[in-house]
Amino acid sequence: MDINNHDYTILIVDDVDANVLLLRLLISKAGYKTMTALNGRDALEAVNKQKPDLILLDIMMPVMDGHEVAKRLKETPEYADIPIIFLSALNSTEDVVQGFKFGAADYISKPFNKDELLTRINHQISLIESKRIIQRQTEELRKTIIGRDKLYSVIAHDLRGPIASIRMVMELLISEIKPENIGEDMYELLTMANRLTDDSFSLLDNLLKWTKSQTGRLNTVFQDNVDVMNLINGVVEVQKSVAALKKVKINVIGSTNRIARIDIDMAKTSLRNLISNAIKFSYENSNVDIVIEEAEDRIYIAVRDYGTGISQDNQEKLFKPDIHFTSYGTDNEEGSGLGLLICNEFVRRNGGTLKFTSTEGEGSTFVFDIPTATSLEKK
Amino acid sequence: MQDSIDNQKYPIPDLSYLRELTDGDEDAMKEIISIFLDEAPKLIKMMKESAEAKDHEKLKFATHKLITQLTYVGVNSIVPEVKLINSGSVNMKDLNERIERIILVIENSITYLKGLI
Repeated sequence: MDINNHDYTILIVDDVDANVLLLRLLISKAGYKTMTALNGRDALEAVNKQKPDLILLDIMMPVMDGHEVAKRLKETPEYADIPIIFLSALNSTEDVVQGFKFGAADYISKPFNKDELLTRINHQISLIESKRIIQRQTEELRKTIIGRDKLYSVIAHDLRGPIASIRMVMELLISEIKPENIGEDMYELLTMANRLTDDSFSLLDNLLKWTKSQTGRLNTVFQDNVDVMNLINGVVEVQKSVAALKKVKINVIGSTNRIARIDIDMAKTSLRNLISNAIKFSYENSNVDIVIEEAEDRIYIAVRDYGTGISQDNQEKLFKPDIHFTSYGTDNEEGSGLGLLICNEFVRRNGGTLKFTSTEGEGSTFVFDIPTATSLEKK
Repeated sequence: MQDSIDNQKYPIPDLSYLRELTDGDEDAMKEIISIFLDEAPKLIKMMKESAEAKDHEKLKFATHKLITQLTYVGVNSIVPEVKLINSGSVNMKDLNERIERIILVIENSITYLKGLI
């Protein structure tokens, strides 16, 4: 760390002219700028005029002693961070301890050793410089994060609306137009466009939700008496049409009649992402199983595919926000790497846990739980 | 600046510490000595008066200020005695005698130091 001593001002406070003169001589020779005051009251006035970086403070002084000066400075938020080195002939253990109680950063006994004095001053200045570097970096990081979140938010908001409209039009077209009317090739293109639109919308939705959750602008809205099976069936129905495009069959295995107190949108988003991932990594003509199991106070929902699976190396990258991990599906589908992060966050917010097992070449199972109470069981 | 003196009764002020602090800067040394020559009589007076008046707080203040300045100009022989008075003058039955002895040494040092500037 390069420190330019000329950038730092040290206030010397002592009622003995000889001390002030000697200290100013030594400190100036070391390259620091100096200010001086001959008593406590003058010291406070000097600080008000120009905030020093460090104060060398005598204790026993007329008008106002060093302890009182330190106390007043520490009580003033603007000046509380100025390090104070007490420099005093009062050098009993009790005096030294008392000095630290008044907020001293260090304590030097008079008569002082020149090298020790300068070493202790340099040490304090190094600490100040380190603190300033950290503050500057923290501020830069804060601005960067604000800028990033703003960018994400704008992208997600501004694109989400138009894409949602296109998605509706595409869905309408695909449901109304028959292949024989426009030809197989054109219908296939239309189907692909529909799928891409759907993927884009999901990505933007995930991006918006992730940004909101990371910036503290996404509240968990718990709703009572949520019919869990109804929620699962709703998500599965929508995903079945996506799966059909890839000739993947979704099977719902098991059932529950429990109700839960959860954020419906978060639960739906979690399940939608897991099923979407399962389809993405499944081969044509394979199955995706949604397995529902009841436990004493919770329901486990597993999403199992028989697709590519995840390598051991890649498994360690999942759920880590600082690692951007994404991979292509079996049909070269792209991902954002956000889906699982959102699942993990939303499941946690709903009081559950998301876990997975996977074997490369055999498939993956992601399972999450929703807390329920048997007493809340549907009548 | 010559440190030698022919006075055999009192120790000669040792300016090595001051020389070290000032890196041998003659002007700075002379300035510190001048401050001592200016301050010491006032502190002697304060010591004497506060001892006679048994004002131990004031005596503590005067001795406290004196300790550092005596050290700068190398009047080291009486520093332990001044420290003793600073920390425990209340219990000293021979306080005035001790102070008189200290004053004699300081006055002699003043005479010596005056000859240097």
